[in-house]
Amino acid sequence: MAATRRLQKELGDIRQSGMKSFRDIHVDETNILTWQGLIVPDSPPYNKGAFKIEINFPAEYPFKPPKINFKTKIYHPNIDEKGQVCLPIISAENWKPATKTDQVIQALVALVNEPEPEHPLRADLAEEFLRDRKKFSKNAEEYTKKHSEKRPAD
Amino acid sequence: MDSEKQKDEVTALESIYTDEEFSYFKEGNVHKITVKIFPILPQNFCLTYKHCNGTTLEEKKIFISNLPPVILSIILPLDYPSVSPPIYTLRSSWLRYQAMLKLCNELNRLWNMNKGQEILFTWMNFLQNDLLEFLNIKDTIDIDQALAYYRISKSNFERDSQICTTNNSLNCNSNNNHNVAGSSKEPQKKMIRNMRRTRHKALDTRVICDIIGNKNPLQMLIDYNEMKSQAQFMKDLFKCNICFADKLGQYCTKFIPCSHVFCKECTANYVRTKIGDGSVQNILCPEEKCESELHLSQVKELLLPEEFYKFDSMLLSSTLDMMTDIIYCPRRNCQYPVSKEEDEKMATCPMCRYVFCIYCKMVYHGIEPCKMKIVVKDASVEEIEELKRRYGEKQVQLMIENSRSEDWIYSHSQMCPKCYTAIEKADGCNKMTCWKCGTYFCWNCLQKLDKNDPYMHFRNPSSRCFEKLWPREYEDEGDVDNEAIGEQDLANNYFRLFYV
Ligand SMILES: [Zn+2]
Ligand SMILES: [Zn+2]
Ligand SMILES: [Zn+2]
Ligand SMILES: [Zn+2]
Ligand SMILES: [Zn+2]
Ligand SMILES: [Zn+2]
Repeated sequence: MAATRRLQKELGDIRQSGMKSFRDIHVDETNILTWQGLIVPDSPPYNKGAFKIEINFPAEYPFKPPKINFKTKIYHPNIDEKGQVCLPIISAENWKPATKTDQVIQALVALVNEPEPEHPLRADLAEEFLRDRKKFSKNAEEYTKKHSEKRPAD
Repeated sequence: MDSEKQKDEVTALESIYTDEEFSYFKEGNVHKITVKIFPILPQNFCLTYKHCNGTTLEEKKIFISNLPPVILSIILPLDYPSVSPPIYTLRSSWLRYQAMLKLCNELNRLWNMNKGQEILFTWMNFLQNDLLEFLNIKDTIDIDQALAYYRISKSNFERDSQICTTNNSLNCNSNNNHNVAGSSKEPQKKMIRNMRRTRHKALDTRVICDIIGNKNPLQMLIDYNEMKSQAQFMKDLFKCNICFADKLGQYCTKFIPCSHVFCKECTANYVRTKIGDGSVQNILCPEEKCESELHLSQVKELLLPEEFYKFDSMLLSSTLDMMTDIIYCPRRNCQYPVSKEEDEKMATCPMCRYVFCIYCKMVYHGIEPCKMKIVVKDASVEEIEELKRRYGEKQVQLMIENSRSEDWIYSHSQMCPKCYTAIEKADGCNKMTCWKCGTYFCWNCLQKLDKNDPYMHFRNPSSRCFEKLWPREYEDEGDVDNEAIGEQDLANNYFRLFYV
């Protein structure tokens, strides 16, 4: 109940702020605990597409952190094939209830734009990223073009 | 005529100022008025004093946002304002005598400029708005002198009261004053003399210094500021960053020293969540990256008595587990309470027959030195004593028994392999970061992980935690036979060192 009230406020604020990097937010009226939206990165090679994510808030939110999953395949050292991402700001041990969803999304967008190969979930991609950046960028760009969503027009 | 003017003036002032700032009563036809001036302090205003630390003299600062009011007590003569000025005294607990005298002279000057007219509003306006500036007080008040007076008058008072029993002459009259000064070479006596001279001059009936007395002026000012800030906090409106509601301070909790404020309801629920997770050790401020800790007394205020009892016993048992005679089988899926034999370094679980070192909870390592033992040894004597002092011996025993039925901590808490801090995890991946020392470690096997590539542990096929970055509930069904404890699991257990 507390979760619902806060999430409605957060959702309203995020929609109103018109974040460029997180858009097309879809929330089922009957279930505000699940958000879907489009991550629109602005750094190459991911700026060739957009990526659908799902944010799941637990009933205990904001006392427990949300979980994030990528619904669109992405060629990224920190996001695994199942779309799971290890984002410190929402790990159980770091989570703070005053942290707002837009801070979480900003951290996520920052990670997408700037991979952290030192903490990879996909070692093969991290290695490629570190050893041969050109090749990595080319592969990631091709992969993005092939699998990602269309970027919004504006 | 004068009485009409007095009545109008008092009525007007009453409508401008609050009851606290301006009040009066009539004794016959005479108005007796009390005006309290609450000086508005600039930001970062502080009290300064010198603190003698062994051989060096340190300048100390205490930031405050409130000072006690300067009090102007007024009697209006019947021929005020046409002939006589108001009769008044000025009282302060923090202004020096000389400063007060300056203020009095200014009040008199203002009257002389406006003779025959109502003066009270002009006076109040001057004191309210220009007091600090007029006295050239910027952002500090040096209270060394007040402290020195306090110390001397205290020792003086003690000495005087001894002498007074035999010789009733050590009062503050000028004859004695002279005698004391003349017969003394000690520097302290000089101060006493100065002080007495001041006191003597303070017979200027307008000035009352509240500094002299048996109260430590520093403590008095700190207490006043605290009391006033608290009263202000109760009345202020705060936005709770957890539920986003605006609430009055009286319904809020303030974290110290960061001053982040959250409503009591949310803070209480936050603590309850921590109880549910079994991580009661350090309740950090809910603000992102903020490391202020909730004080135990605040926790007590927030929770119901039975909830606090649970919180406290969890806190206790998580501390006690380091030193009790009952230890828990460190195997995660056993956790049976095992009693430790006296002087025995090893214990055997009656349930699963695991043989382990009672200090580090690792498989018994014989004569090899134990990493944990030193820590426990250092902590236990004092801490046990402290706990017994706090809770009584019986209660401590009871808590141990209670903690047997609590299974939270065993499934949610691990110990950092570097600094032995309990680290809690509710969900998320198995790469853990110790909040205290920053060490990366693996939740499954408690191995320290490479600082530069902590995930290697889960990628390397020869690692025992290969492909175990995520706990089972994250894996697709069918990947693992969930319930059965296979040979591999037992082998894994073998390496585990659980913190219980
Ligand atoms: Zn709240
Ligand atoms: Zn804080
Ligand atoms: Zn056992
Ligand atoms: Zn040991
Ligand atoms: Zn540590
Ligand atoms: Zn491991």
